[in-house]
Order: sequence, then structure tokens, then C-alpha cells
Amino acid sequence: MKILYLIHQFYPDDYTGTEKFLLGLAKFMQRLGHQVKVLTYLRQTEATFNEQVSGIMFKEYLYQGLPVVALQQAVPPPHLDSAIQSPAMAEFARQFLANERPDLIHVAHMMRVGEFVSVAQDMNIPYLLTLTDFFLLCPKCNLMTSNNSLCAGPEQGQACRRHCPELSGEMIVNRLALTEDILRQAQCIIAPSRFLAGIFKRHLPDLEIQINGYGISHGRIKRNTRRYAPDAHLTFFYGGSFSYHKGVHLLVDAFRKLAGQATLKLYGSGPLQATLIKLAGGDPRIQFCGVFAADKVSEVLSAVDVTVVPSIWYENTPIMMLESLAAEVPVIVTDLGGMTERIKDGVNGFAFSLGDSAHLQEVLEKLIRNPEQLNDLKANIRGQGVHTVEQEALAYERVYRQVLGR
Amino acid sequence: MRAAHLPFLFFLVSVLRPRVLVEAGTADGYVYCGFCQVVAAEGLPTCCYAFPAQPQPQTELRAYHDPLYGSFSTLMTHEPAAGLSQLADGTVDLLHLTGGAHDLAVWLPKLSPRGIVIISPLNSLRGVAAQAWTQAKEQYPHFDFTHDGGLGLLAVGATIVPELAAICGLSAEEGEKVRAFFLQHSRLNQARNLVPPAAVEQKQLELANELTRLRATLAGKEKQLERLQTQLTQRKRQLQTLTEKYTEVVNSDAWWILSQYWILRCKLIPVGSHRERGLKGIARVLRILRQFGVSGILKKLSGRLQRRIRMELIFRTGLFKSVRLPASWQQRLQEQLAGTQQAQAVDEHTLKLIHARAPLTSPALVIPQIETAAERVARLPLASVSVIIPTWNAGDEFAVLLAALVAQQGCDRVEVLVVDSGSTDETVKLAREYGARVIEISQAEFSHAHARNLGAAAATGDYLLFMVQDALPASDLWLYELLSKAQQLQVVAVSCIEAPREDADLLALFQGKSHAEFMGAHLTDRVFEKPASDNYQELRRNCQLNNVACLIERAVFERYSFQGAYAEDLDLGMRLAQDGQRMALLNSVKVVHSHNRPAYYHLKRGYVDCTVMAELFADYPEPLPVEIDKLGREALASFQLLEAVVNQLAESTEFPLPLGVLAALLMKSIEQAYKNPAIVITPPFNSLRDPYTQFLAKLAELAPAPANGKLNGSAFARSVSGVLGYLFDYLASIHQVADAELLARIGEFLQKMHALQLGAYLASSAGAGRARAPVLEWIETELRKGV
Repeated sequence: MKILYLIHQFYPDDYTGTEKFLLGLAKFMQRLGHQVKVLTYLRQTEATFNEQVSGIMFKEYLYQGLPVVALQQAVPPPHLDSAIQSPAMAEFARQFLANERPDLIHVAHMMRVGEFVSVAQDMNIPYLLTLTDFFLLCPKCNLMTSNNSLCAGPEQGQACRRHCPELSGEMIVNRLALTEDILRQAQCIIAPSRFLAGIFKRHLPDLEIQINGYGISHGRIKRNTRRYAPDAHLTFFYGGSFSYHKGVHLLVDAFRKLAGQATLKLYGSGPLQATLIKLAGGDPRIQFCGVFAADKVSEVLSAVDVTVVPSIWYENTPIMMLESLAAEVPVIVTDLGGMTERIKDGVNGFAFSLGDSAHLQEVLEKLIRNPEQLNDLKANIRGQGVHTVEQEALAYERVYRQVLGR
Repeated sequence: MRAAHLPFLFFLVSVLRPRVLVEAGTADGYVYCGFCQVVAAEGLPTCCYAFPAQPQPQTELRAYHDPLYGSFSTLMTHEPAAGLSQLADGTVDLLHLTGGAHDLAVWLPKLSPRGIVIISPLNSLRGVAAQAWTQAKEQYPHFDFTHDGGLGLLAVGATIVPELAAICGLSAEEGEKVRAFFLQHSRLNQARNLVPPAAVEQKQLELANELTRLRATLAGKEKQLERLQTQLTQRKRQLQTLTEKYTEVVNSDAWWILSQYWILRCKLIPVGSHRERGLKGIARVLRILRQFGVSGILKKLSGRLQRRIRMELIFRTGLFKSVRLPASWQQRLQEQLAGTQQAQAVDEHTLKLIHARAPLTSPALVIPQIETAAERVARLPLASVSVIIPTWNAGDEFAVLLAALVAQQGCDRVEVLVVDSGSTDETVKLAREYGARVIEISQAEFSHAHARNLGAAAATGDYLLFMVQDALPASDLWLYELLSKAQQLQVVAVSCIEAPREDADLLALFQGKSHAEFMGAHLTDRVFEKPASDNYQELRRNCQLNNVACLIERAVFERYSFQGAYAEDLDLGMRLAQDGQRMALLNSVKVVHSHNRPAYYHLKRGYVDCTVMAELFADYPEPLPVEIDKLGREALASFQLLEAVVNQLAESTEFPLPLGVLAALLMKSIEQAYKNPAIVITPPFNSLRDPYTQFLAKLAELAPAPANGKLNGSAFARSVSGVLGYLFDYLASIHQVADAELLARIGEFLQKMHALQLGAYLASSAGAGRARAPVLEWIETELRKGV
């Protein structure tokens, strides 16, 4: 079958969790014998693109054998990152879909490329959606309010007006109507966590949403089989973007204040890097290790003892958390979102209160005082398998076949 | 004619065993030295004489001839006519007339009663000589060759050796066969480089290879240079246009006026001065006035004032800690703090935000209960399953299988039985950690059938599921679906189509697809039919259970058990089919399983598969047996040739390109290389880096002579490259465009397919005894290990 994937950004310029999910899925669909193509939006200078049709600049390239079409509007609209539709893209989308004639469209993220879904509706091309964040409910994607708190969902737009007064009321109402239409017309909706599905169902209770957890490349991951004695030295690990919503500052703050000997390895980069270095105050226990390539994940995880995911937004299923579990490395997470679906406090990791670095500090200190606890946590992790990319993709293939009646 | 007729002449000398051999009309002595070579090699008591076409010193020929053949051969200085007088009548057994010395009549008296005359080049005979040949043909038994200038043979003596008499008496059709035979040999011999010495021609070949490679590199570089030059010309043109524009602008009156304006303005209103700020302020007030009107401005000012006061309060009084800052404020705050040290200021702000522990709150969420598909299914009644897995050093990934089995839902009870045959890694420990029962046996005790039978004997489930250590269920409902399907289809045993792992190589993908198609389960589930006959295809299609994942009722299995040393699953399927039991192969439920094996494993697999299948099925389509020493040379040459072609293509091709173009390029390059021996790489072998190439080199050493012949006639080489068409058909259903990575994967595919095919050829040829006993023994020992 011929599958077109839509995503708001893609490799090699962008590589967050959603891109990683789509890359793994699309490549595996090729392995299963399907013809795939990724359509994405690229924010680059005009010179990057080699063609222009109907006001849309675009270029085609292969990424790891995957054909990608990256486009950009010659005149980007003012609400590019929050709008569901971009009428200026309609003509191009129509020509593109007529030319490609995909059997189905699978949307990994609607941002910037949502117009293709609207056109697909007109052209009767079936599409399915994977909900990878809250973009369809929240113009800010992450359900964080303008006063730095978390939101429970749009409440038919009332919550948006209340918590994000800077957003136009008319825009919110129109947007929600549009997303409801897109959600209802989708042949199938899939979420990687119950939490994410639950937030959507709070908004549209009768929406049918299937759960298909993210899969990871087990072949790349070796088990961390370290056993812990009472005096074991522990290494804590954070891997991800140094951004405010990732809460990494809470971890640095907590670690600096804790008593005892341990090491914190921070892998990543991002806007908060300078702040974090300052916050670490030259503490020799805190190491900034830079970024690591995807194929080094096993190496990194084999040299650490506990992973910390201190996010302060509704994370769904962070891939770092899944990879840690696959490597049998216990995880400390914020008691929030889809993370505590997988991490049970005291069973395969620990959970601490949202944004509470003092609580996190307590959890870290408890572990440093009693490293043997980790032996039990690791044993418990063994009973909870993490799906592989193959399992995830085969579930999707089955959905594709159901949608197409094959 | 040079070397073209040498095979026949060699044959002629060795059957005739002439006492006197004369060549009349010798030019460069190439053929004459051939005669001498065979006389020396056969140790014949022959005296040889060569009469030159023209009286000449023949220094070069003498330098080569005399040291080698001087003891029995004489290079005469007289031309043939003068030489006649030196030879007694009735003494010459073999006379070669060449180089224009074609006067047969004058030579006839010199020939003995066994005398044979050969004339070359036959096709160039004109006038009297041609007439004489036509007449002679009517008079004497004769035979002729038409290739390479032609060669005629006349048996003028009364006694003819039987071999030559037979040749002269052949029918037209049989004669053609003989001609074709010697033609083929002449080609081979040209290629095998018998004359001149092998080392010289080998060197020539190496140089030709090097030349070809350098030419290809040069062509690539030239192309690159051309491209760069085009780019350079374009850039120069752009630069020129821009320079012209720039000069035009700078020289224009408008530019002069504008520059005067800015000089004046900078003097009057210096940058950063109060004057400049004042003017900007005025302009801004005017703009705001236009935009908002007086009342709007008043409102805006009041709002701004309020915010300013609040912010001052926040920062000066420490109220910051308890005040929530809207996002828009944060931005304003950043803007305000921005200056020459903007980044530093942002950090300061974030630090404040962090130290103050921004008041994060999350609403009290009530999330609707959402069930996964696995949780929704109803448990199957009376369906307990024992999963039996034979293991040996299963590695870390075994944990993934064990965890996936533990996670299975919808079944009454799942027990895992691991039959381990002496693992030295953590396999046994891991199995126990996941709650599996472990039966430990020694390596010596292991066989595929025995280990599984042991597991089955200890099992307690209603169903047995045989798996392998590197397989993986497709989902948490996999076992449930297998059972449901088995019950729904009313079959006693069921297997799954295999889905590849994400890192599966091209060969694994291609084989998986081909196998599914062969089994007729590439689109849907297939219940096996009762085999209509006992031919290979029919039995395989309708009996091939697959122990990668094979579910069977325990009660049924106990009556049959596994048997045999190899292909125990197929054997069980055949016995079940014989008794009319129903079996199925599922496409709707897949098991994840594939290997990335090295070429050497595929060699062994090809060998063992072919050997066992040929034993099991009389009509198994094994390749036609060939001589193993010849095969060895062809195998090494074709392997290195395929590698060289792919590497050359990778270097000289600009990617990406349409898949169809790559297909055409690759197939054409291989075809040309098969025809052109110059591309074949001969020793020293540079790529003997892994067990497979090392095996190839060892196999190639069995042949007596170096292989530098063309491969277009080799059935083996064709069997490898012949798969490419099917491969590209498969790839075309997935890819429209190819990149260098895809070509590399195709290259790897070719190497592994080469190994697989060679294994099959060796099995079939060894089975037919096409090598010496020690060689057969070596192959058997080497290739049976580890499969």
C-alpha cells in the first residue's frame, strides 16, 4: 500500500520524540513492503528549496532511505504554528495529493501541514491520526497556561479564555470546531498513552481512541545488569532538551542541595544551558556531557544507575523513559501525565510532585542512602516489557489494513 | 591464427606422435613454439624444423626458442623452397603450411605414409593454392575449421591414426560439434593464458584492471570538474552582474545625494543622541495617534503605568516569589532586561524564576478510563499454553521475548519451558528470572527434535507453542489470536508468517516475501490442503509448519513428536498431513523474526538446506552438479567481480537517482563484466577479510590454473546475478528513488545470495561426487558446522 505521512517538522533539522516515532514507523513500513513518503514543513531560507508551485516552495530528499518532501509557504502565515488550516496551501495540497494518490494518509502531527488533511477530506482520501501532543486541543500544544500552570483541557474554549486571555475568543471557537471535524472524520485515532487519549476524551467523550504505545529499538539497547551494594556510588542521568518545560532546572537545583556522594550526568543542549551551568554553581558532582547520538544510547544507559524525567508539562511517553526501562534502569518521574502510567512509585521507579525540587531532593537522597533498593526496582522492571518498534508498527499495519479493508 | 587453433594442434600432435614435424612459412614462430611446447610436454621423440617465409635473422624468436626447444627443434634459415632439398622424401609425418608457403604439390613427396598436412589460414587461400586445396579434398580424407582464419587438415598418407580417421569421417552435424568443442577450448585457452606464460598475461590483466579503474575514476573526476567549472562560470557571471549593479548604484546621482543626506543627518542627529531619541519618540507618538486615537492612547498609558508599578513592586519588594507572571509579562520582562548582554539577562530571569520555584499547579484531572484492546478481550476458555523454547547463548534480546510472553493476555495460563543446551551467558538465569521452567541438557545431547520433545514432555498446557529464542510476539494479544485462529479454523497446528526485524537486511526481506508468496499466505491466512501428490512443491506448500512459532494441540503432538536431525517441523507437518490432520499458516497473526547473518552462514545454510531437501525430496530443484574445482575458480572470480562492479558504481554514480536507472546500470555493468575478462580480478585477493572470502580462496586453490576467463557462460555466476531481476521487481514496489545506501544494501544482498547459491551448488556437486574424496570431506566438515 501507498502511505503518506504528515508531520510538522522532520529530520535532519528536527529530531524530537515525534520525529523519532515517525522515522521508526515509516522505515519499518518500507521493510514490510509498503511504499511510503513523508511530507513535512521546513523552516529554512528560500535558497534551500529548489522548486516552487502555487506559492509553496519545496524540495525532495531521502533521509535514511525514506523519501521526504519538505515545503514552506513563500509567505508564511502569521499563525503558522497554531492554525489548523492554511488555505494558501490548498491548491498545492490538491495537486500534490492528486499526483501522489496515496492509499491513506497517516498524520503524526497536524501543525503547519493541516491543510493537507482538509484537502484529503475533500478528495475522499482516508486518513488516520496519531495524537502525539495536545495540538488539536490547545494552540500552544502543551496545555500550559499563560500563568505558567497546567490546564485540564479547553472546556469548549472557556478554559482557554480564562487561562490564556491573549488568545482571540473567536479563533479558539473556530479552531475547536475545526479540530472536532478533523477528529470525527478520521478513520482511526491512536494515542501512545491512556493519559493523552483521556484528555481528548474529556473534550469529546464519544471519540473512539485506540492505544498503541511507542516502540523502541531494542536491538540498540543492552541490559544494565549492575547489582547494588549498600555503599554503591550512584550516577543519575538526564537526557533531553535543556528547556524550561522539561524541568531539568529542578533536577540541578535538587541535586546541588542534596547531601551525599553521587553523580549527575546531564546529556543534551538547549536554551537553558547557560542557566543550568550557573545553577550548578561548579558542583563537581554535576557533569554536563553534551548530546549523544541515537546509537550511543546503550553505552550511556550502561554507565548510569537511575534516569530522571522531571518534566513540568504533561509528558505522554517520553522515549528516554521507555529506553531506560528497556535497559532495566529505574526512572524517577514527575507525578504527571502519561509518565506515571508506566512508572509506579516504589515499584519500577519513583514519582515526585510537580515542580517540587525539594521532593525530588528527598527521593534522590533516599536512594543514595539505600542503593540496594535499586536491585528490587530492576527486578520489577523485568516483568514489564516495553514494546519494540516492530510491535508498534505491526499494530499500525493492521490498522491500515482495517481502514482500507484489505 | 596465432593461438586460436592451438587446442586442436596440441591434440593433433599428441595423437599423431610425429617423428618429423615441419612448419613451412614460419613468421613470428608463435604456433611453431606451440608445437614445440607440446612435443616437450609429451616427451615425444620428434624432430622439428621450421622454414621461414622469408630469409631473415629471427633474432627474437631464436632467443626464446633455442634455450627451450633447441635440443629437438631447428629454426632453418632457408625459405621453404630451398629447404625442400634438405629433407628426404617420405619422412615428414606432420607438415604445417602457412605464411603463404601453400604449394602442396611440391611438399607431397616429402610426406611419410602416416603423413598429415595442415594448412592455415585456410580462408585466405586464393588462386592456385585454393584450387589445389579443393582438388586435394577430393583426393584425401580431410577436415577443416572456419573460425579464426580457418585451418585445413589433409590425411595424405595411406595410414591414418584412428582418432584422425574418425574426425575426417564425421558427418556434417558431428563435424560442427567438434568444431564448436575446439572453438570453446580455444577461447578458454586464450583466457587461461597458456601461451605465452601465464604470469605475463596475468600481469596484463592486472594492468587492464587498473586501467579500467583509473579510466572510471578519471571519467568521474572529469564529470566533477565539468560541474564545478559550470558552477564557477555561473558564480562569475553572478559576481559580474552584481559588480555592475553595485558600480551603477555607487556612481549614480541618487546615491551621491543620499550619502550627502546621511552625512548631514549624522552631524545633526548623531546616533544614540537625545536628539535622535526625541525624534523617534515624536514619530512614534504620531504613529500611535494615527492608530489608536486620543482615547485609546490614554487607556494604553494607564495599563502600562499599572504594569510598570506592579513590576517595580515585584522586584523591589520580593513579592516576586508569590506572584504568578503571565507569559506575556515574562516576554516583556526579558525585553526590558535585554541590552548588550541579552543572553546573560535571560539567564538571570530564568534563574529568578527557578529559585522562586514558579508556582506550578496542575488541575484536579479526572481522566476517563480507557481500555487497551488487550484488556477488552474475553479470556479463552480451557486454553492454557506451554511455550517451548530451545536456547543456547540467547543474549540480551531473549529478555524481550520473555517479557513479551509474560505480557500475553487473554489466555487461561501461559507457562514457559526453556530447554537450554549449555549456554555460557545469562540465558538460564534470565529465563528463571522471568519465571520460566528450565531444562538443561548438554551440547552433545542437543538436536532440534530432541530438545523440543524434552520440552513437550515436561509441558502441562492444552496447547504447545514451539518458538525460537530470537522470535518475538507481534503484540500482547498474539497468543490469544493464535489460539482463537486455531480454534476458529479447526486446525490442530498453526504457524505464522514472519515479519522482519527493523534491522533486517535485504536478503532477509526478499526471502521473507518470496517464502510467503510460495506458501500462498502473503495476503491472507491459508489452511493447508491435503497434498495432491508427493512432489516437493506440493508437500512443502501444504506441510511446512514453522518452529519459529508453531502452535499445536498437546494431545495431537504427543502422538507424533518431532523426528529427524533437520527440518523437524516440515517432517512433523508431512506426517500430520498423511493422517489427514488440518494445519494452517497465518498471515493475520505474525511473529517477528529475521536474521542478519553473515555471508558465511548463508553458504552453510545453502549447503545444508540443499543436502537435506535433496535427501527428503527426490524432485527437489537443486542446481545441476558441476566440477567443484572449476566452480571454486568461478565462485571467487564472480564474487570479486560483483563486489568490484558495485564499488565502481558507488563511486561513479551520482545519487539519488530513479530506481529503474540504478537497476539498468547495475545489470548492464554485471553483464559487461561477465563478458569482459579484463574486469575479473585475479590474485592477489585483496578482499579476503572474512570467513566467506577465505573459504572462497581456499576453494579456488583446488583448480589447477588461474581463472581469468569470462563468466557469461557460468551457470553458477548466472544463478547469482539472475536473482537481480526479481530483487528489483521487489524493490520497485517500495522505492522510486535509490540512494547510495540502497546500492550498498544491494551489494550486501549479492554477496549473501552468492554464498547461498554456492552452498546449494556445492551440495549438489558434492552429492554427485564431482571432486576428489579429500575435497568432498573438507567441504562436508566445513559446511555442516553450526547450522
